[in-house]
Amino acid sequence: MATTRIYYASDIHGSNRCFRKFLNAAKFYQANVLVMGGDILGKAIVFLEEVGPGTYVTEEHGHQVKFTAEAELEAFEQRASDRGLYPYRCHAGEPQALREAGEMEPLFMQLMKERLKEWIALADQRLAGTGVRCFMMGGNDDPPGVLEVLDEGRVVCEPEEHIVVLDDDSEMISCGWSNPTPWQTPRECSEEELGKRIDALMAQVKRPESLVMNLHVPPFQSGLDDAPELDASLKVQTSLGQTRFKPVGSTAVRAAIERYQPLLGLHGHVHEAHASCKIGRTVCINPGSDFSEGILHGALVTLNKGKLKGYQMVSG
Amino acid sequence: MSTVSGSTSLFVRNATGLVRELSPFDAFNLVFSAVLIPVGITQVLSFAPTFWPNANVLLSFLFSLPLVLCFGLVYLYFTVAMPRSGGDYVWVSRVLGPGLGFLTNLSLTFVFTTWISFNFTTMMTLLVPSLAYVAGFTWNPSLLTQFLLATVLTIAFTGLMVLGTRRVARYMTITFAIVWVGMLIWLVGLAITGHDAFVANFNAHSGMTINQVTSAAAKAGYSSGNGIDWAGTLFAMIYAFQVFTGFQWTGYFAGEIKNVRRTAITSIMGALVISAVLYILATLLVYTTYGFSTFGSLAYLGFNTSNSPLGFAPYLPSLVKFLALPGFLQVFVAACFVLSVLWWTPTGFLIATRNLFAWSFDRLAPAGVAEVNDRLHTPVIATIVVALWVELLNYLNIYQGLSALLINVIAVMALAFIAVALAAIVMPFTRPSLFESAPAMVRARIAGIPWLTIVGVVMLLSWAFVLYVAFTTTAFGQVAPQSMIEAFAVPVLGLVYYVVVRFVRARQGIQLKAAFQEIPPE
Repeated sequence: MATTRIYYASDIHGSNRCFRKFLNAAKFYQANVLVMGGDILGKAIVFLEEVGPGTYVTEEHGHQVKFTAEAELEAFEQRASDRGLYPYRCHAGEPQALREAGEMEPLFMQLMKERLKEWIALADQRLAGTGVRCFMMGGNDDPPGVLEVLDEGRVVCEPEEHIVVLDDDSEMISCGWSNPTPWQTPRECSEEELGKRIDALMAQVKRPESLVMNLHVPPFQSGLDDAPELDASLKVQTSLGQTRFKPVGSTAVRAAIERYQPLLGLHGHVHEAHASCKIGRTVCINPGSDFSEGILHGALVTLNKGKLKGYQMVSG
Repeated sequence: MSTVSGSTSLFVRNATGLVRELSPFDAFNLVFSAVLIPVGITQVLSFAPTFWPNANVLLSFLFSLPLVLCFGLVYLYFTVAMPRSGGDYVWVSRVLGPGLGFLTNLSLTFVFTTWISFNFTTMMTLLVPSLAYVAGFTWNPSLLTQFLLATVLTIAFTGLMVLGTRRVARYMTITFAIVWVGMLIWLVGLAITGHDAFVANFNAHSGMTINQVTSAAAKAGYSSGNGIDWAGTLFAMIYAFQVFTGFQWTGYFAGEIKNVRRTAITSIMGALVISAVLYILATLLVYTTYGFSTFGSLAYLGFNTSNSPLGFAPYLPSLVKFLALPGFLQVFVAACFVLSVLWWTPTGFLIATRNLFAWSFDRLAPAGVAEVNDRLHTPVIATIVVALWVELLNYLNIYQGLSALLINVIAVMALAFIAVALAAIVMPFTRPSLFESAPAMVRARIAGIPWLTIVGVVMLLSWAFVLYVAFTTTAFGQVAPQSMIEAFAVPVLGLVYYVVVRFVRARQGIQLKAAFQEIPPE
């Protein structure tokens, strides 16, 4: 194949709408490779408590709402799922009981697995026979126990920890781990360990000069890693009219890019970034994320004979 | 795992980006610091009388307030619907297309950078001589001196921006505090100086008496005897519109999980209301202390006659000399007017460089523009590009009459805001999924029509009115057509540029029109 056209997106955090768009991006942008760069699982459960027969109360955009009709409930559940939330119908008082019994985490894992399985099945259904290759990996926010589901599909391939051959001239390595964050997420590690993971993959790469690095966390001080500055209580810091930003990317990733000088770096992790840069000869891209608005940010990259023919950030 | 929201319906796990959002006070500060009242009030109370001598600017502010509130509501609704998207460039691009989004953003960038240059040139030429007058000396700079001063300021601020955001923030914090101390003293000075005391001070220190001023103005053609010039009062609203802008400059409100409604309302509408109150209060004090007819006579002599008998130009900082304040405070207040111009400048640079970055990332500008210097960690190239552009504007302002008392710039701004208004009007219909997934306050309707559409219509009509006034003023010879041509050359050339870039990128396999097209989910 002479030309490889990659559509890359990341950090959809459970958004049903964004995932559906991701699958359709191949046809929409005429891409033959789809890459989902991590942080694919949602951040919150929204409980719909049954307070009376067929009557449920919940919260939407900070307001308490009440539903009495099944159609209203389903519409809410769809909206919530599109925003990356996991709606869960329960009896009145059940959320409190789950918290007290320590059952919240198992419930979360269950809901995350269920949705991911639905996604894998949908990918099989929509992409089968199209010739489109689809790679999905987890990010630092995604618990390993849920990511096992990625191996259950026929179309979706989990690319971490091995070399993907994109075409006759280009390969791809992938790593969804991040450097330390203030939130002690499931898949973060020290910079040293992150560097070792990347080096272990690079040892197997045949042509680093035409390599695509699919690394969830962006390189440090690249402009792709500028996130709001936080204080110890995780409050966003401002300074006379502007939110303050600071680089939070990985020094190990930066060192790897500077050392190996691949063709392309594809990154996520920092949702606010929406930026690209060059580190030496390597073009690095972070399309950012607005998953909660149902907008799918992505990057379209065209490779031809091991060279980067063009790239563009898109917002679908 | 933890619950951050405090709600019993929502359980949020520990995940990247889960932050405590801005408090309403923080968000208020985000926007209020962008409203440049000292410069704005000086412009309104000198430029409006220049064109419409009998306009009652207090009424202009009051009449414009409900219209500007609709303007604010458009931005509020868009911000609540898309709290993380970074402003009108993205909103217009998503709703109307990337071409219009770029042209809107280019036009507003032109407006902001022209304000920087206008402050370095015209405003410095107005304010520094006023400060000199209050301090007891004269300064009438030649064109070359004005240009050199503007160039020095451009270079100085370029250097400051290159040094990094922390130094810029420190600079702005200090100047903000000084300016607002000065402004408070000024307002107190106006309040405690009765009209009689003002007249007595004027008669004692100006070299003329108020009676001589009103006589001279009447002889020159000024008359307040016919009451309020209602047409002029309405037309003067364009300056009220101009000075109220600023609340739309912030686009980041965090909030992936939580509702940003309260924060956005406090910041956008709160800042708009507070600035309106301050503008109205200041204008009321000016008219009360100086007297509407007296102020009108002074303004007429100073701005509408060629041989003014006044020994000074009657800009607000000059008139501080006649307030019941000690001499050193008078000088301090007048100096704060000058400082206010310099306080705002980094914001203009920041907005312009941020927009350059956005164009670069969207492949509308060369990638090199968005490079960040490895040593300084600042966008040196983008900053220098902005500086060179400002320097060109400095030249055009001083030697080619670009400024035209901002009428032409206000007209270009009107064109850009008309595009934003159009986006607001059609968004519920052309981007229904985005609209329907927004919080309830955005989706509110009356008689089945979305409020977003309604306020969008009001905003569009308001800024169309501004365009009408700007072109009418030009047609009647009060503004040189050349200045309008120069200003509107920017969006026209921007359109040509966009078409060329789109063609070039298409040959590189990049379809710019696809940049904001929504992917169907089903």
